[in-house]
Amino acid sequence: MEIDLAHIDAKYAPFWYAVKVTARDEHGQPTKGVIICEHITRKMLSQELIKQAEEDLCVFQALREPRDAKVMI
Amino acid sequence: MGVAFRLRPDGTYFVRIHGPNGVRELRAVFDTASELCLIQRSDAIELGYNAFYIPEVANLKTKLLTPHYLVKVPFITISKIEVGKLVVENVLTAAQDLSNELGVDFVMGRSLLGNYKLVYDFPRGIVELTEGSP
Repeated sequence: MEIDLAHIDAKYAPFWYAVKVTARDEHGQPTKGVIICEHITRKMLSQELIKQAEEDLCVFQALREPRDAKVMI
Repeated sequence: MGVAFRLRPDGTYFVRIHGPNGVRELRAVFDTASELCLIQRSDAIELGYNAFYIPEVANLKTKLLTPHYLVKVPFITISKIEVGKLVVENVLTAAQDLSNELGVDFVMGRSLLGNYKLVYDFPRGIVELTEGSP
């Protein structure tokens, strides 16, 4: 299933996703992709990724907005 | 050579990180105060880099001073990073366990930014990165 990466957060939070990118904007940022695997934790997603032959994947967590806490790096 | 791109609503953007085992596209932020780039340690390991703490294979070469603590972390050289159409090779990077809830898996520090001019347009959410000159 192809999904819109620009709006993935609200719809898919709080799962982790590994996505094969299928479309990019003019600056190279991913805009659409096909979900290869998903899991509620990053650690379990890693276990799923071991089984995948795909070597070029976009990996991220869909985040709820607004966040429960302020983000500091 | 330069790139411009629109940040996501949370201020992140995607970068493509290359390693011996493949390519990962991860959410990233700029941090001009960080001397090195920083990658989520699990992603570094899955990409095939030696980012282990296990004593037999440990690669704890770098002390990392953060706002909260001083730790030793694995220190790797990422073979290639793509930021949009911009390609940077051999980037010194620290690998650390970042909070899974942070929403950021790569921090772009001065080990990559050092050779570039960075223009940050906060109101429009646009970033421009171009090759700089001394």
